Amino acid sequence: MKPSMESGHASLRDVIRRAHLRMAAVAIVLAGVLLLVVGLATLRLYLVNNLGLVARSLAYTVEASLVFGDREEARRVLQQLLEGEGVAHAEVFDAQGRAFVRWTAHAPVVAGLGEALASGLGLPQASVEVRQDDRVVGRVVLSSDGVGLLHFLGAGLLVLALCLGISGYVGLRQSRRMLADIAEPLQQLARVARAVRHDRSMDQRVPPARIAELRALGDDFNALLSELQVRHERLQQQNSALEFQASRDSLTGLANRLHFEQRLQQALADAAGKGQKLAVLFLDNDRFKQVNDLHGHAVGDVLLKAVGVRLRKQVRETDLVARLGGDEFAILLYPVAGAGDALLVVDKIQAAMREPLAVSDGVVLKPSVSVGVAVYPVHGLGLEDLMRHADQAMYEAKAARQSEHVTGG
Amino acid sequence: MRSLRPCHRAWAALLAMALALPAGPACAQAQVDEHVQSVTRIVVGILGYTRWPVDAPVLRLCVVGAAEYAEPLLHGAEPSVGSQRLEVRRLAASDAKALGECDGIYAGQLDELVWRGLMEQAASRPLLTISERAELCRIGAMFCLRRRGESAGFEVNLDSVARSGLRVNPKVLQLARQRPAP
Repeated sequence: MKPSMESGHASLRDVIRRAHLRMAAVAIVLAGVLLLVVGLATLRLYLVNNLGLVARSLAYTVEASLVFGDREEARRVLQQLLEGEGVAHAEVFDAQGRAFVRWTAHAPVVAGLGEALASGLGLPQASVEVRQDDRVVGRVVLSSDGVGLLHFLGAGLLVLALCLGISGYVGLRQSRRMLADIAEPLQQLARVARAVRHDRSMDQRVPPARIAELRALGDDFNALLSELQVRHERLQQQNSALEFQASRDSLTGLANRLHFEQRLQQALADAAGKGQKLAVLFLDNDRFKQVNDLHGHAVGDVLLKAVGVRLRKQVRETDLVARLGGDEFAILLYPVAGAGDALLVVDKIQAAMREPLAVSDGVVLKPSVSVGVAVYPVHGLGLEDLMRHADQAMYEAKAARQSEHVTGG
Repeated sequence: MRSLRPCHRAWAALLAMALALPAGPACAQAQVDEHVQSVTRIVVGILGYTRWPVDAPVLRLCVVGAAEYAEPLLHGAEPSVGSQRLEVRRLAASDAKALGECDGIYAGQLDELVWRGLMEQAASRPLLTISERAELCRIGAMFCLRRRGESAGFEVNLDSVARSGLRVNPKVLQLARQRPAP
């Protein structure tokens, strides 16, 4: 996953983070608002009860003052009893309903706000009769200052904001972790796929992911890679086998003309660069046609194979022996010190040919070859020149041998 | 509300109109009335918060001596205290037999010796004693009225209350200014 995405396509990171944040915000706000509402309702109930309780206790305490008409004492009682009890205004009426004493709290800054909130929540005034025994001697009326509500609301909102902050942070952390769990395996997958595509390297594998689905995907991908690798290797083997077959002579297993010419070309270029010498030997079986005519093609093939084997044995591992076609062979000697080396090899070949070859049905053949040599750069610089020269030399040798045979025979 | 009292209102009106007519006597009369009213209220209040050992349907309060503020009690329309009917009579201090039937005594200007005699007679039974003179609270009276600004206040002698055999509601005691022990 690259962070720079096309416009209109959100990245995985954004999607996960947004989902987490939205979930956290919705949960907290829902729970918080619900709690706040329930809390406010409960607190309202509690405040109503509390106000009623304060009113009752005030009624009890102020009773004697009312009966004795002692305003000063009543004022003292109100001040003593109501200070810090969440009461904004208090009024005491006598039995005739006339105002006896009034009391107002020293209003803090928030009191006005609290009273507004209290009236907004429909917080009623508390009104309690003052009784001496069974006789009503007056009435006490209290109104709440709503500071308790205000504190609760303020604290509630603060806690809500705090929770939002914390859950947002946790959500971010969680999304980052989830991203690591999801995005990292995908990135690995992409990396391996890219390596396969660009570098044709199929050795890499996707590491196992923590999430089951992604792990399965990775495993499938790995299996696919393994199959591809196997197929690729098989194809390569077939290719090289085909290539090998294309460069070989099927009868003797030696190189064919095409391959010989390719190798010779390479060697020429190499020798030219290094200032070295090489030799090309052309060989032709003597009397091969008569062997074919006398003993059949099968025997001819056996003869060709045997000659090939003997030739191979006379040269170095690095030298190339090829069958050009029919009964013609060629040898590339590279590098050589000079024509002497080539002639030494020719002698060895002639020596090796002298051994009689026993063919299966009691027929014994005496193989014999005519050899023509061309040395680079003495007899030519190019492939054509060298091969023509070697060919020429071979025919000259054959002609000499036949005349020798004729004169000798 | 102090500023709304009739007397002050009168003064304010007078000043505003710049009249030279003296309003002093009228105002003084109003103050006296108010004081008398609050005395009545206090006496009835004390009676209301006091419990006798035997709950009689009629409560007899006897006024003894030259009482300054007892007029509304004697002639006013205060027929009952709670569930009890209130009977107020003026008696001579020497009428020992009549005094024996009183549940409470309201003492006006009274000689100390006479008062002591009364106390000795009453020592054997529950008797509420209210005095207009603060001095009597030092020699056996339970409640003594005292002026407090324009209205009336009262003191209480806790020893006398404890000895009287009456049950006085503590709310009353809270309102009273306690006299320091002699």
